[in-house]
Amino acid sequence: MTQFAAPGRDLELQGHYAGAVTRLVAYVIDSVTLSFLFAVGATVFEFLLADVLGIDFDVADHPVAATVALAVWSFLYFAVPLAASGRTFGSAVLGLRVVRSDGSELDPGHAAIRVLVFPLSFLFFGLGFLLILVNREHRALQDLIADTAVVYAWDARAARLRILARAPVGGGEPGGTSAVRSAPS
Amino acid sequence: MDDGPGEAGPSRRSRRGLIGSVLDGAGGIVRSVASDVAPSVVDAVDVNEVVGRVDIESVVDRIDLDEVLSRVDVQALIDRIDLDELLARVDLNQVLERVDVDVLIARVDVNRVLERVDVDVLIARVDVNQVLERVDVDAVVRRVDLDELMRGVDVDQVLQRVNVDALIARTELGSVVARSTAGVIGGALDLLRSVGVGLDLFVQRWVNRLLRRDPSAPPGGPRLLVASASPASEAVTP
Repeated sequence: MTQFAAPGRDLELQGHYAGAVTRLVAYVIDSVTLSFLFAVGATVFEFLLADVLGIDFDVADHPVAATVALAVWSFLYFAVPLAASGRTFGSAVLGLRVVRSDGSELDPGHAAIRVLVFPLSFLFFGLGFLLILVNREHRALQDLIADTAVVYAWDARAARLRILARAPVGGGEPGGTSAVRSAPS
Repeated sequence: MDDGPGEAGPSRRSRRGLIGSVLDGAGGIVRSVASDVAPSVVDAVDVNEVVGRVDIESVVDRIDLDEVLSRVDVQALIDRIDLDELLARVDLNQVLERVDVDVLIARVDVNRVLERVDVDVLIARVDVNQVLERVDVDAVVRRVDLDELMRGVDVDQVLQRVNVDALIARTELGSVVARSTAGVIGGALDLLRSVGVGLDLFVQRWVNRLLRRDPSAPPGGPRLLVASASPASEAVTP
């Protein structure tokens, strides 16, 4: 796997459209986190109802309420951090950021629209997500509707320095260890 | 002295013969005196004194040098001069000491001289190493305005030539960076992100091949981010 790692390349790609793999992994992380937190929340809620109020409540017995709760929770989970920083937890882990199509910062309105139309991408066997592969700007259906884009945006410079610092002398990136580069031709 | 035929009488003929004989005798006497006396006179004359009493300046003033020179074939004169020998007999240092170089230079059209000089040939004949050996580099450096010099240096361009990667790898700075910013999780994230980008590009290359696009084409980016060319964590700057 490390054959795919190249800190110098990552530095150059900051601000460019993110690809399908990183976005998929980010979404998986978000889904797992979302589900885990919802499950924890539901358990805590059941525990509080049972222990504090003495009401025997099982979320599984109320699928509609559970679905509504999950929908609301999902909206909040995605929309709030997107509006605040342009990142969800999963995209932060992968170093992604949602921006407006011109590169400007995402505002709460467009963040909300993006989250609301997100389920549309699942229609027709995930055709909306397939656009990430086909579209030159790697924009999914929710991006096209909300006028947004996903870009690589992490501190690649610091990451590069960290990787180089761990690497043995002479084992860094291609280009040798000479402290002075050859003059540009 | 001419005894040619005439119509004079015998008395005139006899008188002419007398005068002629006298004159002939006088000529002989004069010649005799000149040949006997002149050397003695010449020996008696101090030529140097005579020359010393002559006002040469006035003589020279009366000579039309232009006229004289116009009648001289200078080229032929020069051809007959052995310049090497002449120069060998000249003490150039003494000559140069008597020359007012400033006046000489003031009368020289330097531009015209330089136009006639083949600088390349001149430089080719100069031993630069020898010249530099005679140069007091310290004195030159002392006269250099380093501030002015540094103002002309494009530091950014110099830094661009510095291989920061190698610098960090070869110094303690690398370990400082590693200790200050990275833990196990940070290192894992760096690797995960970098591998993710690599997989993105790998997949995109194949998609581009299927769609008959340029497989090596890098992904584009939003106008404001890619045009700014300042990759950092805070890439989003409206």
